[in-house]
Amino acid sequence: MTRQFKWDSGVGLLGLLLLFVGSYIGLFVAPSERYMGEVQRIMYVHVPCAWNAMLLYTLAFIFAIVSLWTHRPKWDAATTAAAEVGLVLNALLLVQGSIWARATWGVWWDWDVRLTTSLIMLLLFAGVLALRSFVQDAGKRATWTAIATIVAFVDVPLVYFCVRWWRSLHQVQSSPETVSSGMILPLRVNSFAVLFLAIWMVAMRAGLELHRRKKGLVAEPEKIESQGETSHV
Amino acid sequence: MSLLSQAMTVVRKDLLLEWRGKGRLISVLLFGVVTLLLFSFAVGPDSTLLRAAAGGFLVLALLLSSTLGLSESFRVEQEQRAIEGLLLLPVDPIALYYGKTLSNTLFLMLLAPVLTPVALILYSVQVDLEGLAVLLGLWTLAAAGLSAPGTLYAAMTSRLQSQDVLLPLLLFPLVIPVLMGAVKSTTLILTGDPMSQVGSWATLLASFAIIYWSLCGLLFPHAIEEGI
Amino acid sequence: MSEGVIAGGWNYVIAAYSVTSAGLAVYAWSLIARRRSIDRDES
Repeated sequence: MTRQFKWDSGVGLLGLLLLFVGSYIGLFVAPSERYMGEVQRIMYVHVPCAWNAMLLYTLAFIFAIVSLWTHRPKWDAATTAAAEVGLVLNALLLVQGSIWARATWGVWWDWDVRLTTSLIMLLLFAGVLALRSFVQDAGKRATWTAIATIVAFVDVPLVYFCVRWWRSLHQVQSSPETVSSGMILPLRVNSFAVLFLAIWMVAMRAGLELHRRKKGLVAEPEKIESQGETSHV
Repeated sequence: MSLLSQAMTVVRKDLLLEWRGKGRLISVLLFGVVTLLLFSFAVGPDSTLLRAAAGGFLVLALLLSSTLGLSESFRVEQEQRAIEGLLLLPVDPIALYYGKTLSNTLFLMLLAPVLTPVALILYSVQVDLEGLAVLLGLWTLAAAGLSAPGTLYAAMTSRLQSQDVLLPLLLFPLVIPVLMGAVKSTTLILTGDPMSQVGSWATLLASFAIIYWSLCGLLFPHAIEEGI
Repeated sequence: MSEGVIAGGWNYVIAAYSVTSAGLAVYAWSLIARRRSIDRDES
């Protein structure tokens, strides 16, 4: 398979390097936070994952609209890849957030607004990807993935406001996030690190998806005979 | 034939079919009653607990029952391959969508007048007539909100073998705002609303319904353009 | 309170960073492995 993108491994390696640099700074150089001490350093992986997960889901949404509009396979591949990598980061951020909650509040889950919304987003986009595995026809799969992605993404702000409202009626949790200047650098470095890694992963995953689709078209001669039927999955 | 009259034709056909085979409605209602019963067994006969959770249990029972109703809504077409007939006739897909969504909303609305009294009795909750009317009004908004994406996903999953898993899997996380809005406002009506929050939750339900009725109507023609 | 209220803070940090690296590594490896098997099949 000819490399779909020549540049992607360079970006990926840059991302990896930045991740080491950023994490080193975050772990050993940056000051510890006033009230939470060392635990706050989790932020240097948690926040980058959160930002990039949201960015990837937004990209998936945009790609989905284009995919629905153009019906071109590469946009379906891009949608799927962005959603899947976003899902990986989403899962990671939930685990990190849970560890944080355990460290600061003694419980593994505390219904924090953003974590709860993240959990719901995880389920929404996992559903989109699950749907794909049940649809054989590539064209239909692409259309339905796009539709499900759009519907899921539109729900995210609704869910966020809803959960925030729901929470505000009960306790008010304050998360101490005084970001001193020493913290900005590792945060920024790691954010770019995760971004570059994510770009590499999306490129790889999209390439794999396109290859899968090409293979699918070649390997189904019986489909041509059944073109006479008006509908098939 | 205008879009509206096409949609109304779809609704009339569905209601007629529903009336002729009342079995589906009755089965779904019975399922709802069983669910309400199971919830009370989960919590135990402590009436304080039951009363506090009554709103949540009622809405959950309605939600679970609605999935059954929704998944059936394209099954009739599929079994008779009638959807192809509908598509061959000049029925605009958008009219088809809104007709189906409206009939699903009506179907769901029929669940509340039966399940609400059962819940009130089982969980020992009092509510006055005005409260009851508000409850039914809220459920209408919730039913509309559930039906919009529910009809879209029901159409998409109707030919897939794992529809019984996929439809709830896709729908439940999506309609969490509806669930929350309905549970909170129902609980407030049943247990008292000192700060008049019901209006805000009702606005949430209405917003969700409006957003998804518009969005899913736009997306539905794409979903069925290659046939179901 | 200069050290921080949370005892054993580093353990949590190590846990979080380990899970993150492991997760990213596993996913990245799965992509690379699938890509390699495709390249092998086609050459």
